[in-house]
Amino acid sequence: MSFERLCRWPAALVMAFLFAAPLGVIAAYSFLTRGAYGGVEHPWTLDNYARLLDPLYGSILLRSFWIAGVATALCLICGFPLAMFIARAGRRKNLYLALVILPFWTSFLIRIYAWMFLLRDTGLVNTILLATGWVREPLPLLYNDGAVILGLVYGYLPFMVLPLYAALERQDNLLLEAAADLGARPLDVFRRVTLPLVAPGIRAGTILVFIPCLGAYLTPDLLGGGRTVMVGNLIQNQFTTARDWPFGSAASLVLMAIGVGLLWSATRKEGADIL
Amino acid sequence: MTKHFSGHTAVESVSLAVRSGEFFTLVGPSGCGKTTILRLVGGFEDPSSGDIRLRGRSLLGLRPYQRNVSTVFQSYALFPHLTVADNVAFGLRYRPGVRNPAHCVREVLELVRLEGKESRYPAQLSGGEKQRVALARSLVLNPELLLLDEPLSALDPNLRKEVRNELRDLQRRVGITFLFVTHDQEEALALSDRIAVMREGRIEQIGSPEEVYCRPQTRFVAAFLGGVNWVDGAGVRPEATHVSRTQPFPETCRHQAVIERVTFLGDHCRIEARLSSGDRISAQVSRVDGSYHPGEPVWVWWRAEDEMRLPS
Repeated sequence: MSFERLCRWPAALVMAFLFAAPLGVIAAYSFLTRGAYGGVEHPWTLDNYARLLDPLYGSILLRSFWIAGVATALCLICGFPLAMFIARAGRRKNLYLALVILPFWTSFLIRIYAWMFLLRDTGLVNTILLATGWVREPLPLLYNDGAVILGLVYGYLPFMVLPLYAALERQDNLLLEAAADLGARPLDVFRRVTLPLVAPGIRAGTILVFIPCLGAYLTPDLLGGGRTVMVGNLIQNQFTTARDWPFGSAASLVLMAIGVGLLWSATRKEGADIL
Repeated sequence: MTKHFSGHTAVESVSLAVRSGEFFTLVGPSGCGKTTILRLVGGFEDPSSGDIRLRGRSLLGLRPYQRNVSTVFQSYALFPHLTVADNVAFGLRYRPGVRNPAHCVREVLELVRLEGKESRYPAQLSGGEKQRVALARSLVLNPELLLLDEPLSALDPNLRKEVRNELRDLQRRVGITFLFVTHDQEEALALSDRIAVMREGRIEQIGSPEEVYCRPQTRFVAAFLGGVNWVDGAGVRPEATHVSRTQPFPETCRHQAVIERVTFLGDHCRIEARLSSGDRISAQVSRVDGSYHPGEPVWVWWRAEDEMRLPS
């Protein structure tokens, strides 16, 4: 038996235990009835999916789409110039890339708490603003959609920067010179040469940011102020305070189906080179 | 003009005037500054001092897109996401007064014999086709000056000679001034109206191919453009050096020699011989002139007018 064929068994085991089995459990739960103290009970039912059609959940899903969309757009707007700067930084490239990745070395939770420390009424920003007399009352920086979006942009910016950087780095500088040589002004060079050539990177970054933003729960939970801001919080609540595992499972699966659908529609056009 | 880069001077006090409609070539070994001159004229670098004028108008301070010159890059720099037709049409929208871009594209593609390849992408083209697209993309703009940075060096040798002739014919037909850069002296001689031979950022000599080849002003020019036998301070080209078994006429420059090596090269033979003075010389002789053998005593001779007397 060849080495390659031998490798298939561990791969199959990993897939089975780490991906297929948990998904199967969640899928099964989503068709069961809620237990009195959490957990699940018989009989089988489709009620959990029917409840998702309630306009209340539809509006939460829409809000999630809106917040994730704004966060993704801001990541793109902030990430593009940053990626361009790094791609043209010459020998400092690796240093800047390391700085982009550096926050991953600290727990995401701690970094979100750091934002709370900065943004709360008695936080650093408000303290400075009050002390310098710029404002009379502390600005409401925390516990609103703006804070959630800020946290999402902060958390997922590297996932936008890295694919953009990879696409920009690959780009041949000579093409930009050739475009200028043929009469294109800098803005035209960007629009007609740079943008089309880094489009796969933009698509990859958008997917890598939008899908996790859509399902985010930690950031909206801590920076959004305990209200059910996004669908991630809704799901989390079902497994904790609401003790409705079947409904949480159904919502997770629907969210996942939406994510897979988006991924599929985005990759269909470009082929497999995106991820 | 002069161009300094940090650490070294790439172009040092170069002054040259290219005539309108001329095929002018900058030739020299790599690193001699010829490509830098092209980039200075194209607007990709700014000269440290001096001026660049096009029809009397200074180009200093003008960005590449403001100059009516166009460059054919060594690697062609075709836009990979655009078809042949879109590549060629790229610059047309920045030209005021182009009424029918599609017609212009069709015409220039016909000129470079690429009809029928309009909808191909660069990745689907051969090296020679890519080179012609790059040429068409610049020619369609009808620039006052076309800059060509070793456009043939990426082609394989057989194709190169063919494309060379096409390029020469094309330049004659369109009448655009070509400023051509190459390190290949044969290419320079075959293509150009005039040649500037460069060395270490300076121009050694400017002249027609015949002038620079037959009447070089420095030893560097003589040696760069072809083989040279140096005998008593005078240079003579191997193809002007003759070998004979009988004594040559006394008015020629003649020396007795012993053949050291005979190399058969198909269309000719190269004979290397040692003169009685100890100098080694090399001669190009016709294959049909009879065969010589190593160790054979012979006469080598050349006409006095073929001697190049040069300061070292």
